[in-house]
Amino acid sequence: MEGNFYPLLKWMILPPLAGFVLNGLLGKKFLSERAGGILGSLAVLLSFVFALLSLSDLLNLPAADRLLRDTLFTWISAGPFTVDFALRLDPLSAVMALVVSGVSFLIHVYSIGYMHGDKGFHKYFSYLNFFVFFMLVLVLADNPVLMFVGWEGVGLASYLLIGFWYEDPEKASAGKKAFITNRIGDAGFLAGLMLLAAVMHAGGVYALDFSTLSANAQLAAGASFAGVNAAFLIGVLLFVGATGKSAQFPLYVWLPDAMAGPTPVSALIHAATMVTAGVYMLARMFFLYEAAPAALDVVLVTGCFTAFLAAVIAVAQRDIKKVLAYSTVSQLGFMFMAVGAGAWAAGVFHLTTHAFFKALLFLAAGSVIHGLSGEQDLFKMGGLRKHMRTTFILTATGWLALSGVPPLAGFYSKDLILEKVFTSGAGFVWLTGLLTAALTAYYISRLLILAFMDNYRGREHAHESPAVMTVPMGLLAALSVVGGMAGAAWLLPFLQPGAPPEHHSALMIAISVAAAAAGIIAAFLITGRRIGGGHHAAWCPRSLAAAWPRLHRLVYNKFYVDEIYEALLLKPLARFADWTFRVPDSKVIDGALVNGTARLFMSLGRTLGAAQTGNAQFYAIVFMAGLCLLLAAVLAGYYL
Amino acid sequence: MIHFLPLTDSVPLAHIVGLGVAVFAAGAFGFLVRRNLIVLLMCVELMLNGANIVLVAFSRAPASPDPQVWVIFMFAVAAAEAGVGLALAVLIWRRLGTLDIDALKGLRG
Amino acid sequence: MRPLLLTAAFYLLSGAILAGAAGTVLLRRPLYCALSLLFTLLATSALYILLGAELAGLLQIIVYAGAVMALFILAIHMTGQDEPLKTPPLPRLLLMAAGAAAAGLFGLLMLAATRFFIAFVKLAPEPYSVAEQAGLIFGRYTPQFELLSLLVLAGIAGAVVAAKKKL
Repeated sequence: MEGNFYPLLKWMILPPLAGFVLNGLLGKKFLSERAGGILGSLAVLLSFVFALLSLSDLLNLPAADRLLRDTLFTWISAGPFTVDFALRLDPLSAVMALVVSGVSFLIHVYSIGYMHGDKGFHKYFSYLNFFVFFMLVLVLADNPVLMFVGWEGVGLASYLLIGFWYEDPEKASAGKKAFITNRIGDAGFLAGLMLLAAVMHAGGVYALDFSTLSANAQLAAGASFAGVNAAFLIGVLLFVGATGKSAQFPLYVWLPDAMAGPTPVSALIHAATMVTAGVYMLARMFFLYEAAPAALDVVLVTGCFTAFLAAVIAVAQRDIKKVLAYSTVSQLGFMFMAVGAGAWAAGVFHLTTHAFFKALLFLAAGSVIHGLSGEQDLFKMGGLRKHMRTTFILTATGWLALSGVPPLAGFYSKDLILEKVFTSGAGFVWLTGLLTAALTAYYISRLLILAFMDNYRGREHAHESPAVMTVPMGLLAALSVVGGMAGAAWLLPFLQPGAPPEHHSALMIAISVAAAAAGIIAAFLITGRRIGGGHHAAWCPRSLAAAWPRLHRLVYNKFYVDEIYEALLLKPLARFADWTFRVPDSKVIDGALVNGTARLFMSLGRTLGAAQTGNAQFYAIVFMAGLCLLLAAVLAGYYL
Repeated sequence: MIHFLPLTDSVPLAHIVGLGVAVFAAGAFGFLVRRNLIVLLMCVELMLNGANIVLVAFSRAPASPDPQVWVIFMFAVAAAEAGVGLALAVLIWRRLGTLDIDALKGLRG
Repeated sequence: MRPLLLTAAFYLLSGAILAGAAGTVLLRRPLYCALSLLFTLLATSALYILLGAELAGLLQIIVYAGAVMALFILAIHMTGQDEPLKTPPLPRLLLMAAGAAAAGLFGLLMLAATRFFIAFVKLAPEPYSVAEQAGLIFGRYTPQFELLSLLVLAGIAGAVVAAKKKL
């Protein structure tokens, strides 16, 4: 196998594993806060360094052969079917590894400041390292089974970190919701995986590493299962898994609730890295989707719908983190739109830039929350550009990047996606995407205005965050500025060597920028007027809310999706579970089978025990009666 | 009246066996009915005796000395059993003060 | 004449045995039961001699009617059970059940023995010689004989232990 045995790869995943173990077992007892935080951050930094070294080795290879592999051990061996714990570095996984380890490192450093004083400090860093380990396993895995291991591992880390302050039942419940919703998606993933393995095995292919799969993709295209084309079915099933992990409709409901976790967790897992796993997986398996274009249509439509829906909901939210959460869902929709249009590299590009500016925005939100001692309601903020200047500048950078204002990063990637969607012929999708882009600019501008402009409406004393928090944000801000230009020039050719160079239509660019500008201007007009229009004391949402109160209530309540799920699925399930407990479990199994057997034997014993009278003559009668019967039997056998 | 009795010096085997079994049945009936422990033991002796009678009958027809020898063994067994049984009866009398079989209910339940 | 006498003797003895058995079972005072049993045993002994089993008959008198009955009467007097027990009358169910059991046993055993009923037993025949029987006891049935001695030993030991006031 080409490119095998490149031992440096495993050193990318080992430091975070060590950090998890050390901080987890020894942290609370033996390490100070400072030491624990540095240990965790250093582990990820080591991963980043090894990723860079591996990248440089990769670049030394000719463009068409960029593949480095390392097999650590054989995990499953069942006859001809084997699955190895094998790692793989090609341009796609190199990009992912760098993003994951780099952004993780910055967030680790930020967390040292944010989580200062928390009694679960070391546990937090232990969990974060745990997450980084599994995320790296996910992106570096050489076969989909190992990738699924990483998939599940990051799901677990997400559950642990969302419910980090588990003593609050709401937060614990948010963790459960995330895990369970993910699980539903995972069922689809596993089904797709098994179908893929079955198709491959039927065609005599037993190794499941990506190189082999990609070479044999036509086996799936040729086969069919229950009347449906296998490649299509596998593609859709795997996408169901991506829907769960990357919070697309209908499995996105866990992401807004996941904001119950610490803000750096939201930044890392639910913005920059874990949620992007679905996009990565589709990019990795793209050879399969090429063989089933219908599956790509499903991806395209779902991504488009989700992007639009989430953007609409974000417009009406009050909690600063919820705005950003729905924004993440929306931007993930954009990434899936790119993949659905066939331009997976554009999706990965947006993934990278989004990681930069969304992490920045979340960290900035964390800074604001930290500075206001826990306040998260936008309507209780305001005027922070005076009290928290550094955070304001950093947030503004993120704001421009997310809105798609050139020359920041978001513009490049978002515009590329819209262009690709348009050129693939899906006009309606493109139009929706454009409208979503405008809404994106609107809601993030609204956030900026409400939080930072005008005068402070709250009661706490606002203070700026320490350097350990602002410096990482600054670095992310810098990446948000230059990342787009650098990415457009270098990233795309790196991911897809041999693809024809891009031609950008000036008209498309103009339309995109216009959409962004429209959003920003509208926000200033609508929200700004509310602020500047004189009614400071009695703060209540006017204009939009006043103009269409029912619509506003609908959007504010997230279109009641959670409530619909509750009524349609959860309540019947709970009732069914309760019924199964009351009838089959208590009555049948406990009552009839278990207790019934006991009662049967007790009564049997009592009945038989009645024969033990202790009276010798009674026994003698029975004896003689038995003797008579015996004699009768023998005689009957003899004479009859 | 005399001519009703057979003028032979043999009797049907059935009569002797019937006698023995009747004694046995009488002993069985007595064992089930009587309350006094010692009388019970006497009924046991009756049953043994009945069995002996049958054995002696079968010693004659078909002719074989063996059943008679077994009868002699039976004597020894019966004697041993009566000895131990009566010793127990005396002990029970000493402990319980009564020889009513219904008082011996220790194995009830 | 002689056959007549023998046959009459047989039936008379049978009647006596049956009467004695009935007496043992039915009499109220335990002492009377014992005496009735003694009577039965003696009559049985005579029956054995009539049937030519002289050794058995004589041993019956010595062992059964002599030793065993002596034991019984001794036990009756030691336990002061000369008086009948003051007990309530027996339940009818018990009587009926006991009667049924006894009758059933009787009937079935007779039925089982019918295979041999073509035979006739001679009265006052030549008895088997003692030597012949001794030869069987000490020859063919030696193991049984030895076991029997063990049995008697066990009986002695048990009786002695039971009789002690303090072990």
